[in-house]
Amino acid sequence: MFKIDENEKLIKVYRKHPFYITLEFVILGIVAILPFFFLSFFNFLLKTNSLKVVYLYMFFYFIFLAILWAVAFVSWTNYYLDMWVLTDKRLISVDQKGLFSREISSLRLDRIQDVKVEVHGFIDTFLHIGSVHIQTAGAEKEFVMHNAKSPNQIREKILYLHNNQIEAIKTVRLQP
Amino acid sequence: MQENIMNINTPEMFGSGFMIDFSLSDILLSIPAEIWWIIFFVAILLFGILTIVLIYHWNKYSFHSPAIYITQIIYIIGIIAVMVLAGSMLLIYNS
Repeated sequence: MFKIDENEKLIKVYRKHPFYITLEFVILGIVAILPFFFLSFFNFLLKTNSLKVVYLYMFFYFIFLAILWAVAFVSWTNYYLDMWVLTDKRLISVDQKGLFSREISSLRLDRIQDVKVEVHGFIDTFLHIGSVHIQTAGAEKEFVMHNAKSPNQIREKILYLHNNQIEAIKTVRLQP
Repeated sequence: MQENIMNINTPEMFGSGFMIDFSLSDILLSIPAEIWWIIFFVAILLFGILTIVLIYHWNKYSFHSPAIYITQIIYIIGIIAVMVLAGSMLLIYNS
């Protein structure tokens, strides 16, 4: 995946706020009970003299549940493997896009120029969810983490480590 | 009046009592049981492949986090339970 150097210290691993993955699970839960509502609406389609067919419907329902179960865990995998790894020297962004696509990029903390936090909407404000944008020196792409948990804390931590890194570089340069 | 509307809106080939006579259950019952077993085994195969892919991802990219081990246990227990229930329903249907 990626390796952290021996002289590099892992500070923290940041993930997205669990609110949105919880919301996905709730939606999947609602979808799981939808067939029972449809059953009452489309009862006229299902009418039969044989009770045996009930087991066939239950078979379909369990296959449907298995699909939902798998979808839930694929979503969870995307949530859990999508992260920012902050070390004392670098910020590593792991962008999980589905099961077979991932993008890993890293950024030296001393190259950071600006860290911006965006919070929009009532839920995001209330639950401290926001986007963290990191602007770097040079033509490198902007680092963005959407739906981050406590974005202001992330920003402060990154800026603190950035300042430490700049001080460390200055100290090394001043040594005879 | 209502009967006239039904006669106008129902295709001739189905007859005027099409919606009243139509039963999805009877159609499903007319399908041979072997087809349902084939669907079941194909589903087992697909879920098996997906399980291998998920476990591979979890073990390769997870930093050996305890949350991943718990997730694997929950996922495997859940998928096996649901597939066993599906298979049981098919067995009862065939008996």
